[in-house]
Amino acid sequence: MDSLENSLQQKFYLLPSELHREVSQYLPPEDLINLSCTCSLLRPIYSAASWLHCTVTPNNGISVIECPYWSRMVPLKTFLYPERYTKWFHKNHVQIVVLEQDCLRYMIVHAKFDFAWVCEAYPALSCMRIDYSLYKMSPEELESLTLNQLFNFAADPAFVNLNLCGDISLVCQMQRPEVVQSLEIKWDKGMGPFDCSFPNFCNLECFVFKPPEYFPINQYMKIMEKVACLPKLRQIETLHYLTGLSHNTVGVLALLPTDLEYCEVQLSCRKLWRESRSNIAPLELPQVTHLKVEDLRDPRMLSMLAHFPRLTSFTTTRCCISNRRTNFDQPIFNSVTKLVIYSKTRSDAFRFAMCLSKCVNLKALTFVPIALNYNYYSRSWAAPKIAAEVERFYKAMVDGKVDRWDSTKEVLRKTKFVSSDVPVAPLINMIANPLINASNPNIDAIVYMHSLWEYFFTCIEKLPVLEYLAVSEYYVLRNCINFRSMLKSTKTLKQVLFSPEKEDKSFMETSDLGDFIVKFPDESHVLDVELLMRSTRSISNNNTQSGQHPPLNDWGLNSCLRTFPLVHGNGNIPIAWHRGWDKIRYGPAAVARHGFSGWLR
Amino acid sequence: MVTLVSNDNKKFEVPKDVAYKSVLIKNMVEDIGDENAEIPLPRAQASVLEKVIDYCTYHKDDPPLPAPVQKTQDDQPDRIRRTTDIIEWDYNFMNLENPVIFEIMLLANYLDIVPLFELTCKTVANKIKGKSPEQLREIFGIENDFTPEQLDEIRRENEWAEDP
Repeated sequence: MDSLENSLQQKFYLLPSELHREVSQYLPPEDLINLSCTCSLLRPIYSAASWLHCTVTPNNGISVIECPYWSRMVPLKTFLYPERYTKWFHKNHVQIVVLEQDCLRYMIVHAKFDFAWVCEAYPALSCMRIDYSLYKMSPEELESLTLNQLFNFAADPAFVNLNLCGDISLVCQMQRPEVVQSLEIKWDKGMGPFDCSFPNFCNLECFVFKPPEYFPINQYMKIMEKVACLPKLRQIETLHYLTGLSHNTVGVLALLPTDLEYCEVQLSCRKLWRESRSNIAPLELPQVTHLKVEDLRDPRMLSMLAHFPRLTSFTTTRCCISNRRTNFDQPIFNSVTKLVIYSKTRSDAFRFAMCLSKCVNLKALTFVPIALNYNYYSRSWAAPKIAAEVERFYKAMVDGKVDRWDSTKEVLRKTKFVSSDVPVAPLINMIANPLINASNPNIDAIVYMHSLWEYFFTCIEKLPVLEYLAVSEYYVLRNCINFRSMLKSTKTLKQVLFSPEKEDKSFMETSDLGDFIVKFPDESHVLDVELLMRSTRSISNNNTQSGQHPPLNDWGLNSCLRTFPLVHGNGNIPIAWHRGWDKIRYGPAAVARHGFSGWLR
Repeated sequence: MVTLVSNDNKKFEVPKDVAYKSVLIKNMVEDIGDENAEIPLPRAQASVLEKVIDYCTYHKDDPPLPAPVQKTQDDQPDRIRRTTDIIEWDYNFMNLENPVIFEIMLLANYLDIVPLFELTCKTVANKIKGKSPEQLREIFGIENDFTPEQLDEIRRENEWAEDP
């Protein structure tokens, strides 16, 4: 190999430009910009490529909208008056533009915007993506829209990807049904009677309809019947309210085509839990690929209702487990590769974790116990509940997890949760009578949390193909004495996302499993990279909260917000940036030999 | 077997299913109509061709790439492509010096071996991601040949200054 490498002298910058263009398709704008700043040969190629995809942002510099990492932000003023910014804005390279509602509204109402002008000003433009919520518009704004001929302009679906949102009559008033590709129906009582006439949206590919609970079921069925006949439909998202434990309550979903690429059904189960269990054969629903369940209390009830053979993603929202012994060994979870658990309380979340062992195909787990600042944990709160968790630890010990149990017990001893001479038996007694510890001043809420996380990792290490884990806790978890061993015990994990408790909101917004990310809140935590680098090749920092974006003119700082896949080896990685700093801070990191072999979205 | 001849006249006897991972070679063999004919590859150095054959041998049983499909929610054509979906064998295979990777990239492009070409692009992209211009120059041996005027232009380009 040495001779091979010695005999070849091919230089990157001398590669043919078409190969550079291929490489550029794998790079986000900030990397393209960095490459364009290396030498004069690469500059024209990569500078042009960095402008290919632009997201127009309503104000200068700091975005109030989410700009995807593959897109370059352009202020609205620049987009409207590109000739003023020719020194840095190369409008001739722009091929795709994303326009958000606020931008478009401003352009139409204030700037007297002419859509036909866009084509002249941006000669390379091949597609505009426009999200438009008609139902939010005032009559005056709608009139302006008509005057500005947005919908004439948007009549070419190959050029304009118009995502319309409103009620059906309004949509049809503004746009010809045959050119609508993406449609979200919005309706509530305040908008007047629901228009049930569902015209022939013969080119509709994406349909979203999440009606309110009081929406008449017969009208919902009519909509679904018509949607099922749309020839080009690929994707659907809907919300359905389960009203009882019978096939009738889910039968409407069987009306949908069985070959949809993406069929997300949000099920509200609130009324279901009033039902007593009965033995009915589950209805086969191959339509559904993604399931979101509100108020889930017992997966067995769902299993009785329906079987979802194509289900790959299951999300609980505000789950509240009514039965501690409930489990995921139900047929509906057999095919699930992605599970997202949002729970009302930490206890609910950890009860879910206890039940995961049967999810043998699970590759990605997002685990979000509801955020509670652990300072708020009172001893009286922690004491009765830790007993149940200790019980499970005891079970883990019986299952052969002696070393793990010993180390946990050591923590308990060090923190005076138990005295050094306490054997297991008194703990069992405590389990039997949990309330006797309620006034025990030695019970520590942090220890309790450590115990929960220890237990959590005991559960997930049994998942044979789990590759991705996101948890919404960082500080408590990181300070667990067994943090290192807990991570190592999960042998199949390839990437982990921790999110500090204080950032739960941003975590939830970014929980759609990108090409991932370990969030490190500050430089001091970079050492944790070494723990995770068995397989993690991407890190990012946590500066993605609204209002903390660095200025766009600094491509270096901007790049800090993104993920950083690294090649195998040792080196420095960007770890953090704060407004007051003049530079990104770098920290040492080792990168796993096995690298990262792909990810679920 | 198919006989491939590199530009330094070295001959490689390659099983047909391995050689046919290259669309160019497959088309050439079919055009010639003689499966035993030698296939000259004037743009292939023997040492690089050998590496490419290694790749094709390992991947000979891979299913053909699917035909382009309509966009899906997770695969929007206007997104950048992913660089993280590299299997371990490929990752280790690409553990090479940069000049070799570039030569393999050129040859994969010439021979029309799409998976290998994409692998080289992903590998190069992974080397680029997150690096500053200075780091990129160091990694790829690039000389900073910008004039002071160009440097000034670069500086201004990265500002949001409004032109006068």
